[in-house]
Amino acid sequence: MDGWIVGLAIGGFALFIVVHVALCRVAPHHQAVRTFFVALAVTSTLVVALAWRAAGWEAAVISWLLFTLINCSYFMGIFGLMATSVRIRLLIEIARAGGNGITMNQLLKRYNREVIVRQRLARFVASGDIIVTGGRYRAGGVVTFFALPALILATLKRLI
Amino acid sequence: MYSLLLSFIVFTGAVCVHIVIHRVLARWGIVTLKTIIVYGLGLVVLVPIARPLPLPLTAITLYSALVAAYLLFFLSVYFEGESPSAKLLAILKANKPLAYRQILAQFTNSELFATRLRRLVDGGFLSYRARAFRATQKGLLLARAFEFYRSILGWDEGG
Repeated sequence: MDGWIVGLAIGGFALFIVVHVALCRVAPHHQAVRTFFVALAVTSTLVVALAWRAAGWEAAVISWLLFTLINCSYFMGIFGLMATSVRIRLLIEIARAGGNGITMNQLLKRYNREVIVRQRLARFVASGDIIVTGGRYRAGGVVTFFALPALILATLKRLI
Repeated sequence: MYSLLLSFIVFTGAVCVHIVIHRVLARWGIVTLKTIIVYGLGLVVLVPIARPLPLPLTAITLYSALVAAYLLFFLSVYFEGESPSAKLLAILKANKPLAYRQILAQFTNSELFATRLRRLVDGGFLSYRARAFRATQKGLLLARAFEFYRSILGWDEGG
C-alpha cells in the first residue's frame, strides 16, 4: 500500500504536467489558473480511482492528499514564480540583450514599474482579488487561490 | 495515519527551529542559506521513527514535499525581497479605492530592481561592466531554461 500511495502521487504529478502543458498551449494566457485547475481535476480523479482500485479507500485519500500537496507546491513555487517573478524577467531581458549587454535606461524602457503594476492589477482583477469601479481599484472581499502565494510570501517575510 | 501526523510534527518543528536560527543569526548580521540544513536534520530524525510505523515511505515523501514547498517560498523571500503583488494587495487593503496613478506612485524602479539586480550579480548570474548588465554563462543557461519552460506552456512575457 505504501508503494502504491507514493507511486500514484508522483506518477499522477508527472501525468498532471503533461495534461497541464497540453491545456496551456491551447488555452489563452489569461486563463492560466483555470487550465491549472482543469488539469488538476482530471488527473486527481484518475489518481483517486487507480489508488482505490489498487489499495482501497484509505490509500486513495492519502494518495490524493500527497498528490494535491505536490501540485500546490508546483503551482505556488514554480508555476506562479514563472508567471510573476521580477528577477526571472530581469534575467531573461538581460540575456536577450546578448554580449553587448544592456544599460539600466535601456532595461527600463522594456521593463519598469508601470509594466509590473499594470500586469498585477490585470491579474488580480481577473481573479477577483481586486475590484475596479469607476477607474478606482480596491481590495476584493475574499482571498482567492491566486493571491495566496503573495500572502504566504508576505507572512514569511515578516517571520524571517 | 500516525506516520503522516509524525511528518507534519517534524516539519513544523523544523520550520520553527529554522525561523529561530535565521532570526538569531540575522540579529548578528549573518544572513545565510546554510540554515536550511535544519530540514536535513529533520529527515534524520524522521526516518528512524517512521520506519517501524505503517506507511514509512509515504511519511518521508510527505515530509520532503512539505519541505520543498516551504523552501520554494523561503528562497523566493531570500532572493526576491518584497513581493510587488503582496505590496499591491497590502496598499489596497489599507486605503480607500485608489486610481492607477496613485497606486503607481507607491512603487519605484529602484526599489523594484536594485536588490534583485544586486543579488543576480552577487549570485554570478549577471555581470556589471561599463555601465551595462550582461548575463554570465550561468545566467544564460538559467534564462534559456526559463524561456524553454515558458515556450512549452505557450506563454509570452511574464514578470
